[in-house]
Amino acid sequence: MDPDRQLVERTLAGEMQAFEELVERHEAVVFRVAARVVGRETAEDVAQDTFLRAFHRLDRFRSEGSFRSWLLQIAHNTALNALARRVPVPVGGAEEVDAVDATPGPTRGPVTALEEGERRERLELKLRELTDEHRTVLVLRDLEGLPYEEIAEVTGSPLGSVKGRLHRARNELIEIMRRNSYDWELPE
Amino acid sequence: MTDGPGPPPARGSSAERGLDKHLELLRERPPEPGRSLARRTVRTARWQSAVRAPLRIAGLVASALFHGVVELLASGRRGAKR
Repeated sequence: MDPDRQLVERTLAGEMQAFEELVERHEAVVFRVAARVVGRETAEDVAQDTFLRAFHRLDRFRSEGSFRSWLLQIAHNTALNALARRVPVPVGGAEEVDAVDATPGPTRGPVTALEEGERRERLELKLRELTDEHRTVLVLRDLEGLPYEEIAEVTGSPLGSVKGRLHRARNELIEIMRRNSYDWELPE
Repeated sequence: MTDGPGPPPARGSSAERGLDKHLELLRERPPEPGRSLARRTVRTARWQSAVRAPLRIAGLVASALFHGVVELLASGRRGAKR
């Protein structure tokens, strides 16, 4: 039996240790998706809300589907709700600067790591300029590597719409990078 | 813990391939949750489930009381009209 299903059944039987294991198994992917969609500053709240919502409706989980898809579906909705509640802030504001991660990697010098950290931060901000639905499919496909079918399940959209949306999302991001940047090399 | 991000998908145009190279920057250093996320989440789930049942019962009792009072008032009004 799938370990997730076993953990779901044990949680439903009142075993909180099993729920903790479920959270530990999936917190990384839920947090990554939340951070890419709503930003790192609120990603922990969105991730926690996602798991709590899942916990309270665990009896509605249909065992024929994958637990990860079901959880990401909840994360997607929770992230969209968080975005809808948010007061609009101009992209590139000073409060987003804390997203820089310039820790030197094992084979990189500190200057290269700093440059990469800056580029990474600017790219994250560019990603935030996409519409919510474009950003979601691009994150799920191009950053998380989810199959189209799973993205369709997570976003509740037909497969064809997911593919079309992804194509438009990539083009939109390419246009944003060409328009606003001096050092993103993107051939025509 | 589940596996990390999957492999980058195949791209069509050269611009898309260029974009994919830039996105590698984000894939190679994904954001990570704080170490206490699981513990905090489970603690919150624990107290929420502990108060959930009593709150539901209190809600049902309050609702029954409210409907009882409404019914009593309505029957009193009907009695006064007669």
